[in-house]
Amino acid sequence: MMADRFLDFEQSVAGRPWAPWTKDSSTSMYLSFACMATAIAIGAGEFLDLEQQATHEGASSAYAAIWAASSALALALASWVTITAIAKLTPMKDAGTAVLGIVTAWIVFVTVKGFGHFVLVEAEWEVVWANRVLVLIGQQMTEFMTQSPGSEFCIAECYATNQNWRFWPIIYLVFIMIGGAYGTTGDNPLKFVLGFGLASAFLVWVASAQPDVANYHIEGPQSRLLFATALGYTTFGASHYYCSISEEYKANRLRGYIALLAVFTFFFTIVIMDPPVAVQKVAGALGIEALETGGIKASQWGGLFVNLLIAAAGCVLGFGIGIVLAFGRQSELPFFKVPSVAVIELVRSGPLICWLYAAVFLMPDLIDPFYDAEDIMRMLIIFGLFGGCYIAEVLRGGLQAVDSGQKEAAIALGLSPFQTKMRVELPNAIRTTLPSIVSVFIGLWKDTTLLFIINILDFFKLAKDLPNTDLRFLGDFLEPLYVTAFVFWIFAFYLSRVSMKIEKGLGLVREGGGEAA
Amino acid sequence: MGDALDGRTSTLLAKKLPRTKADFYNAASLILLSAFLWVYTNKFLGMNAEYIEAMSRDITLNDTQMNPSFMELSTLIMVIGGVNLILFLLVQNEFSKAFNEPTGVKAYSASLFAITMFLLAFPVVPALELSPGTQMPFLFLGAGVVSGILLLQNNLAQILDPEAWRNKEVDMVGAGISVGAIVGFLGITMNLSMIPILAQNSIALLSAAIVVAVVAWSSILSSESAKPSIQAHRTTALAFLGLFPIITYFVLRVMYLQHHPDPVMTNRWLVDLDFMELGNTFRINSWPFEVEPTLDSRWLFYKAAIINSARATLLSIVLCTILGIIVGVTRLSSNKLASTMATVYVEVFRNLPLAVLLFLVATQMGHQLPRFHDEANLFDGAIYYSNQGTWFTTVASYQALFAAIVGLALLRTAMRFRERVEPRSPESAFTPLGRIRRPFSPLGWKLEPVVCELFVIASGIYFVYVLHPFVSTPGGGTEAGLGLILLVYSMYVFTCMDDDGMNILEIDDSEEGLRMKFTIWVSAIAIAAGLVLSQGLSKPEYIKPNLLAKGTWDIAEGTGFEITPAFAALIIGLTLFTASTVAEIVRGSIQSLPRGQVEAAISLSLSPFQRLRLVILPQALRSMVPLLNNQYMNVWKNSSLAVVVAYSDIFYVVVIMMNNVGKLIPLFLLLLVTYQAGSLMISAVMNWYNARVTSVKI
Repeated sequence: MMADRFLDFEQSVAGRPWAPWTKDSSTSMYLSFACMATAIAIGAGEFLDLEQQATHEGASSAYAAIWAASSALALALASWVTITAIAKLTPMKDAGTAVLGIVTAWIVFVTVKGFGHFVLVEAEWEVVWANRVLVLIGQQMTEFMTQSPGSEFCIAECYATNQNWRFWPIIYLVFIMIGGAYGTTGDNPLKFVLGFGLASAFLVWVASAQPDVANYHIEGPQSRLLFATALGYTTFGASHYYCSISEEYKANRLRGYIALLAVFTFFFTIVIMDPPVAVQKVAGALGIEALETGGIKASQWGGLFVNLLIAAAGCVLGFGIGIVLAFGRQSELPFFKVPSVAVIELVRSGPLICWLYAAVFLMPDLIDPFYDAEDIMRMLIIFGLFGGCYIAEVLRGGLQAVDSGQKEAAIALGLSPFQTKMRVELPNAIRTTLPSIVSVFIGLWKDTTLLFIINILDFFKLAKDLPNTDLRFLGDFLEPLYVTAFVFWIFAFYLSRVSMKIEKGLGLVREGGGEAA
Repeated sequence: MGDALDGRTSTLLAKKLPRTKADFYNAASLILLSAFLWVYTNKFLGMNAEYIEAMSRDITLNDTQMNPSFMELSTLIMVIGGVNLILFLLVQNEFSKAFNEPTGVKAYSASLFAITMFLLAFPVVPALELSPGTQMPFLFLGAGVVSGILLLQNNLAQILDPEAWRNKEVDMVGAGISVGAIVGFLGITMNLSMIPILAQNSIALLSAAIVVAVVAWSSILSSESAKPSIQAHRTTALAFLGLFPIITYFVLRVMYLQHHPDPVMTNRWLVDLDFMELGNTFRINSWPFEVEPTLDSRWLFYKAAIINSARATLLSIVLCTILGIIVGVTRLSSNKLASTMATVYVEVFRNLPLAVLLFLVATQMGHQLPRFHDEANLFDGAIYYSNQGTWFTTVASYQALFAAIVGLALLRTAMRFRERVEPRSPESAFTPLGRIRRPFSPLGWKLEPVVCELFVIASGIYFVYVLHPFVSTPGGGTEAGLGLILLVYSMYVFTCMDDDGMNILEIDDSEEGLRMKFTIWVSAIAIAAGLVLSQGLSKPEYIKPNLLAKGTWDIAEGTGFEITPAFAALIIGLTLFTASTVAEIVRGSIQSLPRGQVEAAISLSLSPFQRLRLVILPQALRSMVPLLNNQYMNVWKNSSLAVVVAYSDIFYVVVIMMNNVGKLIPLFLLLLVTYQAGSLMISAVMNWYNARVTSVKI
């Protein structure tokens, strides 16, 4: 049984045997084992070599072992495929599969060996690890953590007032949102409990590992992150329970509230980070001390926080702008149609960095008299506009696909044109285009890395400048780049999984590929 | 219309005092709306008034204009009035009526009235000698507010129709408001300076008018008493009135910036491209068109940059298509190992940000490749590679290479001539348009396709002949344009001939037929290669002029073929990134094919490669092409990220010009136009190809 399966696998990788001596199945079997044994022997030899080499190059023994083992495994695979193909003469019968298998196996080996050597032996990941707070929240706010009164890390005097409390309500809100949102999916709760737990544990570890190296008190962040995790679990439990006992329409209403919460969180973030004058006045009148004075200027925000915030602006503002433009483009009234088409086509005609430059150099001239915006605020606006135009095009497709019977039914029920659009057409269009909208969001998230071109201190900019700015790690150029790539990749990958899940949940995937919508 | 208004008034009367929760919310939101509108209109109309005042104040001393922002009154009317007029016409939306039935003036009298008012303003306004401080802003801003009110009332056509007055169909209240608004506006404008209270509060007056109109009409509209078309018209008018201050603000702001007291601002915003004639001052790495700083004009730098961008884009498109098809097909292969690895490839590169990827590729290349003086080379000096660039061996004579390619093309024409058979229903063209479509049709079915093919080959030769000077010297634009037009026309002629069914081939697929064809092709390619190689090869020649002085080594000029590290990094990054998306497109298109096609191909005992080449890919191409078009346009736009790896593409060059000259707006517009033109060209080619692919209906 096992042997059959093994032979099946061998054929799917190395191709069907052709050689006359493989006609007898037991001979073929022995030959396979012989090939396997040879390959394992080659791999073992490689393992010993590589481990010695890695240790010689100064890698720790665990890393050396992992690298040597993975490379040896890849080599064993590659040589197994090659030897089997030669011994059984598979290329004579099934050239495509055999060549594909051999070439892929060797590509895997070269990649694993080379990349593994870099990751496990050569690289000095310390450069990012030592500056992790900096790349997460930026220069100014890192300074707040160490230079506020009462901190023992001040060198001469403590000059900064700690403003980092502003982050925590945002993080609590985000965790509540995530917990609530996953509660409404109706999935197996164990999945969320595990995944969320792992992610939070990772965050706690980043915030509080190696207390002797971290130059801030780790207790605060640690306990607050644990509190946020608890909040997330609580809301997850509550919303999961609510959805399991309620009717579908109630669950949908809850989803609507969570979406509203997401929008609220975005605006709340901007307000709490640096309360605008109007908010300060209102807060003064109401006696809310926290918002009475200005906070951290937008120009001092930095790190991953900026990427997340600007991508969120692309989603939240972009969604609003996209809905307006999509309906404008659909409209039969030229007063709405002409400007919408003009804006969409104009914005889509240029690449994003054109618009980033326009936002930095031209937008101030236009809007300064009534809104003296800082760079990051202008980026929020331009990402909203840019994302909006792409979302509008996606939504337009969805709006065109709405069944005309739906609209007629809405008119027959006596809904006004505005109500028809917002309550009938839009939900239908969003439902069919949600996966595409999420891929626009992924694009916007990836595009936030372009901010470095106009000198906004985002994650990428800070990380890639580390080898120049941190004197301890001069010249470690590659490591920060790989970390950046990985961080952005993780988020984008996660979003693409979410998109696939939505697609499945909405029943938009037809059997055998292709989209039903 | 009268009915609608009656209906509205009656519902308003029928409505009792509001008591419900919803009514309370409505009232609250109306109050909030009016407060917001009040602040917003005051702010923007105030700024607008300042700009109009600044631009209309005429300070002439000794025949010189002392006000740098001054603009002629006619220009002001032209721009501000023009924008107002266009918006009015858009809201009024009577274009189709006017075009379909130009004689039915009654149907579009309101639009005509607006146009007349606009034209009348040119002689009348200068004659009135309005004061720039108060009357001018009131005139321009008030005109917008009044047109908004007229649009909301929507009874202009009725008022202008004498018959309606005769039949007493006119709603007197509405007409009174409309006429009153016009008369009152004109009266106040003329006498504004006499009434100091109004003169000081003119902006507040206009804001109040907007707020009252918007609030009153939005509450009327929310009762939904009119016909849907009138309802829609009034909603639009409401939007116009609400947006009027901010639209006017942006128009005025741009005008003001173009005549700003600060010359830096004026320089930045005035649209003129004279500076492009002057010499450029920075160095760029361009190939094959070399430009010299300070000697060559900015237009030439712009041209070099476009060539740089275009060659990176074209090469990336070709490479990403090849790689994408390979990976996409591999993802569907039955080989588990290969399909898994293809999936990993797609997931890794699709979710990486392109900027990070490019930076990573460039840094990794600089880190990994040997230094130049290591003299790293392959195959005994055939390829020199280093982090300063890579040099390949190339053919010594490109003419010979080109001649060989032309020879092979001619051979193909001859082979196809032999295989061509008479079409079942030959169509010939005798109309004048048909003559342009198929100029060679009188030659008959046997000769026409051959001449068409020869025409394409000849145009191709001519195109390459004129393209070479265009991309390597400053001039040659006209000839290259003509060559391109000729090439496009020749391909059009060929396409038309093919579409009319004149190009039917019968391929001899018997054993000996195929063998003979194979023999002919192999020997022809061998002969061509031999001819090319007989001219010799150009190896990169490593030279060290002075062994003692460090850093003097180089590759001799004119030997080998150089690829700069920036170009290589850009191509690798763009290709890896785009290929992941192309692979997904290929996979999706193949998966959407009916399963029976593959099964039929298997039962015909086609080999896997034949299945792919003859059955699957040609059909998948139909759904692939539109999606690929999108990706190719993305490659073109993404090539602007060349700035990350310091490759002198168009974005990079134009941005440095912006920094040098400060002419932001003209350069920015130039950039947008260039990118749009490139996108349109790619899309035109792909649409043509799509039409070719889908010309046969399944």
